[in-house]
Order: sequence, then structure tokens, then C-alpha cells
Amino acid sequence: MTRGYHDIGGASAGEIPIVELPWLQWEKQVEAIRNVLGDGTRRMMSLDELRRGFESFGEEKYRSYSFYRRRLEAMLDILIEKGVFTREEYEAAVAEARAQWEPAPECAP
Amino acid sequence: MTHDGHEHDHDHGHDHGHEPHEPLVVEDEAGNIEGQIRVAALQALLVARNLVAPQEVRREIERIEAPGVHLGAKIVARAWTDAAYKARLLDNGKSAAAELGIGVGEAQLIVVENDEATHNLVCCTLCSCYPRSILGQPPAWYISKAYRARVVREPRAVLKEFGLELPVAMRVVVHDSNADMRYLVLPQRPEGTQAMDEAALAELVTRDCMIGVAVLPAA
Repeated sequence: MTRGYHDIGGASAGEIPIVELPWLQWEKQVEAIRNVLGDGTRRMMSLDELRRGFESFGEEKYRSYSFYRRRLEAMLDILIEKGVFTREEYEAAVAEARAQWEPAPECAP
Repeated sequence: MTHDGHEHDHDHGHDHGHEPHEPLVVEDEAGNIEGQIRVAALQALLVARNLVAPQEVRREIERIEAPGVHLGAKIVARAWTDAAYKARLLDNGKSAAAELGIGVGEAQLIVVENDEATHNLVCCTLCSCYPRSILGQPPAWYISKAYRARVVREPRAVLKEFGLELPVAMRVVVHDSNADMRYLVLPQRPEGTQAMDEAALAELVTRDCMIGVAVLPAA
């Protein structure tokens, strides 16, 4: 049986990176949206579906994305798959959101 | 965290860390802004389709921010001071947590007790299952590939990296969590704490000793 790329228990790996990282706002937002979509009234996104998303979107994406980015991209794939919105509609929303993040102009000396 | 006025001295999209072996994948400043933009776009779409209200997301963020180590510490201190409670806790973690007003919504809770002969250690090899409603978010190392991969094969070597060397005679039991079952370690009550009350005891309990990568020193 082939093991999935997420199924790493017992594999060899280097030293444990014993670090504590802050939990950022966008990361909380990813978790919160997943929880809200998965609640009893909506049932649009279970934890199992989310896992199926990032456990099947390819090893390269899985390995290169950070933990919350992985969850966000899996959520997008699943919502697009379910027909909640299309990839094009999502990318248009990204373009709109990006416009709000234009870097501030350089301050004059 | 703010994104304004930060100078970029790098031009790559994702920072894959600096560890030689199995880096923790973390976002750099640009990656965090990208994450913020992409999740904002998702929320905007869901709001536009009336699937989610913005205040629901805000409320949910408040709800997931609330749990922390203090809840696990409360459970542990009660178990140390009340033998009947401890028995109920080991029998059914979820209902014993509920007795203290702590709701474990995500899964069943199995509490495993350390004693003179046994040390327990918790992990999730497949992803990041963790008793979030009791301990908050898992630390970064808990979800690292290195911890997930190695802890089930060489737990003593892993514990040594955390500065914990257990006697050879002590049995080490590793518990692999999953979507339906979360684990909490009930640490041994430290020596020299006989005179302390429940509230003072709770102050001693740390996150790491409830995961099992640490033990509590004598008071």
C-alpha cells in the first residue's frame, strides 16, 4: 500500500524545531471560517473534507505551504469543487482584496 | 500584527526556514500579506453569497482565542486534589471536563495518567489534532514534520531534545491523536506540594507537561 504524503509517522526527520510562533489574524480567520462553514446549520466543510483537500492536492503544494495556507487552499479547492463559487470568481475577489493592500508611498525625507 | 512600514530585504515568496533537515514552513512578511489577502477574498465572497455574516467570523475568532492552558491546568489540579474526580476524568475525559464548565466540542477526550512507571506523550502523526478546547492552539513544533515523524519511532530521543531524560526503566507510551480522539496527559503531582490548594496547584501546571514533553519539577 502506498502511503500518503501526509502519513509520516515513523519516518526519519531532523531535529525538532522547538519554536513558539504567534497566531496571526489571518490564520485565525482561516480557522474561524472553516468552523463557521462546518457548523450544524451549514455543514459545508467538515474537518474530514478539509483534510481530504490538503491530503490530495499534491505533495509539492503540501510541502511548500505553511500550515494555515495549506488549510486555506484546501478550503478553496473544496468550495470550488462544490460549486459555491468558481476559480475565476475567487481570483476576481482576490484582485479586489489586493487593491486594498497597496503599499503606502515612500515618505519624503 | 501590522504590515505597514516593513522593509523587505528579500524577494522570495515563501520562506522555507533555515533548519538543515526538516524545516518548519513559515510565511515571511509577504507570505502573511498574501494569506491575509486570500482569506479576505474568501470571506468577501462568502458574505456576498449570504453564506456567512462578517460578525459570525468575528465571534468565532473570539471563541477560538478563548481556550488556553489555564483550562487544562484546572482539570489537572482538580484531579490531583479530588480522587473521585480523577477516577471520573480517566473514565470519560469529556464529561469530567464538562463538570468544570469546560466544553470539549471537537472530539472525545482521553486522559492518560503519568506515574512512577509510565510516562505518556501525545502527538498527531497525520496532521495537527490537539485538545484545542482545553489547551488552545498547538505550538508550532507540535505540527512540525520532525515531531510528527519521529515521536512515534524514537520518543526518548525526541524528549531529550526537549531536555527531558527519563529513567531507562520507565515505560514511554506515545498516543497518536486523530479527528475523533484527543489526548491530555495527567502529569504526576510534584513532590513538596502537599500544602498547596487547588488554585495554587493549577498555577504549576504547564502546557508542555500536559502534552508530555516535560515533567513538573519538585516544588
